[in-house]
Amino acid sequence: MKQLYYTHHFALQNLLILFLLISWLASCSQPTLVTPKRVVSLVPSITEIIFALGCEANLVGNTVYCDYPPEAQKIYKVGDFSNPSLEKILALKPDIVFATMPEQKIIIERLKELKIRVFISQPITIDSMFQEIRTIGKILGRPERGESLATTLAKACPAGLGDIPVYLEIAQTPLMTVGGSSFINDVISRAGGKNIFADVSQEYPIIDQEEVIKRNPAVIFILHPQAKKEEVKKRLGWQEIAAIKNNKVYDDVNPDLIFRPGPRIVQGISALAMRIKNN
Amino acid sequence: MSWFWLFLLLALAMTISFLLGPTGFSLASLQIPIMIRLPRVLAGVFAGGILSSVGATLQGLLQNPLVDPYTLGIASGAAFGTSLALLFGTKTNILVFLFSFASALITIIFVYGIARIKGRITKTGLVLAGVIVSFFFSSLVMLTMVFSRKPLTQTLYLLLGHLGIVFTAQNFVLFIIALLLAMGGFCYLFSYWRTLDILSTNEEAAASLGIDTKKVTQEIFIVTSLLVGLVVSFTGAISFIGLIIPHIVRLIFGPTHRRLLPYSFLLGSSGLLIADILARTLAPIELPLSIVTALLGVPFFIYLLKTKL
Repeated sequence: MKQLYYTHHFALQNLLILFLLISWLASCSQPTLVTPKRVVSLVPSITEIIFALGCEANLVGNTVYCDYPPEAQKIYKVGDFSNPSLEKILALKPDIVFATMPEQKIIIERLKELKIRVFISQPITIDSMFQEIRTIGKILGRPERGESLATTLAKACPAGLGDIPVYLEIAQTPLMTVGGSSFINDVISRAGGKNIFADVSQEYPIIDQEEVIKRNPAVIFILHPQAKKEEVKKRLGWQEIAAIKNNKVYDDVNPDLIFRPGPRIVQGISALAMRIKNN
Repeated sequence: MSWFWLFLLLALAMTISFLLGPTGFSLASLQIPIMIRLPRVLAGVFAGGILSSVGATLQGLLQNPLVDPYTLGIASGAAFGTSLALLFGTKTNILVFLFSFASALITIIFVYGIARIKGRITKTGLVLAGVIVSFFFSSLVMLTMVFSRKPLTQTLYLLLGHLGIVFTAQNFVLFIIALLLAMGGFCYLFSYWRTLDILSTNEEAAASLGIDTKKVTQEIFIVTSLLVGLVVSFTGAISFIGLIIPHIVRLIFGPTHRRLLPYSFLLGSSGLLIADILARTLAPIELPLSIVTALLGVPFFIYLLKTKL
């Protein structure tokens, strides 16, 4: 009886080992992801990251908005940011396509249906952007490069202390700003400001001028070419705003440095921080 | 008496529009209502009044119940001029207006030319030509906006209109000048009321009464393009208001242009202000005006199509 018990126990142990062995084998038999040789980027910030990682030789296609670094302009264009051509992408036979949500939702779904590997870039904070750089480094076979780039950028990035009310305008007709769910909201915090529209849930809400006046920002950034700061200062009813009274309206920050969650974001944050701290 | 009621309605719409806003209203702080909402109210009065009286004029001149600045494509034409000026980076309102005016004038001539088949213009032909040209210019607006890398929302607000204009002191002065110019243009159109009465009933009689139809048509085309150009360069293209209002006025007050033109102006102003109040309150964000005017206007347009044509 005892003997039988032991045999039984032994069989259980064997079974366990067998199970572990099989599961290990199963994980091995899954296709290991090879380092992609042909890369297409549909996002200007990812194009910048690919260049910063030194993987530009593998970049076979990007969009007309991918204009930095200048060499990125010479790469084959598959369309623009909001409307890339599926056909042009397929013709490039990419091993991986970098895209973003929600703007490119439709094309991402089509690519997935066609069994093409897609990486969806959707950083909502600066930290998640650094994490994304590491992931992209790993995907493209440059994990050390990704790690060092992310670490260097994180070190250079201001910590973001302060809560100076900031209004950041991205279009004049209609008046548009950035809401709390936007990546740029975090950019403003890092620069030592507090987005006056952080409580609005939309990414890029259309707003009423009255709200801007009521929320009384101490600093105004104009990130579009429709108005210069002199014109903003002359807007009817805006004279009561602290930023206008104290001459804290800025139209000289390169929008690409703020809008693109890529390596240049640190320059963008520093540019904002410098102007916010001048208070 | 009708004057009284129309003015009362306008005063009411203006007051509500003046009192309504995200920051509320209190007599203690009149800064925001006066500096932000008053210009908006004026823009509404200006755009609604001009588009409706232009609609009334064109309906009489072309003896066609379905025409207005939007269905004839003039508004889209003007919007194309505006987007072109923006593409070239112009921020001066005068230049934007000149582009908008020129483009509106070219559009109306274009539409008239297309609709004229073997020397005759049919009612449906004119509207079809207008719709085609309107599509054409809307596409061109999209194209210029894509080239200038403008966000699509901006294109949307230009093609569908809005009153949330950000005025600087300088372009507010220009706006007041535009307003006065528009009043002048309206008076000019009004001076044609007798001619329009005759033309809208019987074109042959017009010729025997010594009216030079061709000359009148040309002059009215130029003035209406000017007016639509002025409006669109400030507010973008707003649909249906110029179509429906004259019909309502005609139904209530009869067809003579002596009453039709000024009444359309008053009712159009009130109508657009009401549409704007809805556009501001219906959704969490401010809607483009044509969304509201079209929702109200399309059923009316169908009614016209079934009964008047």
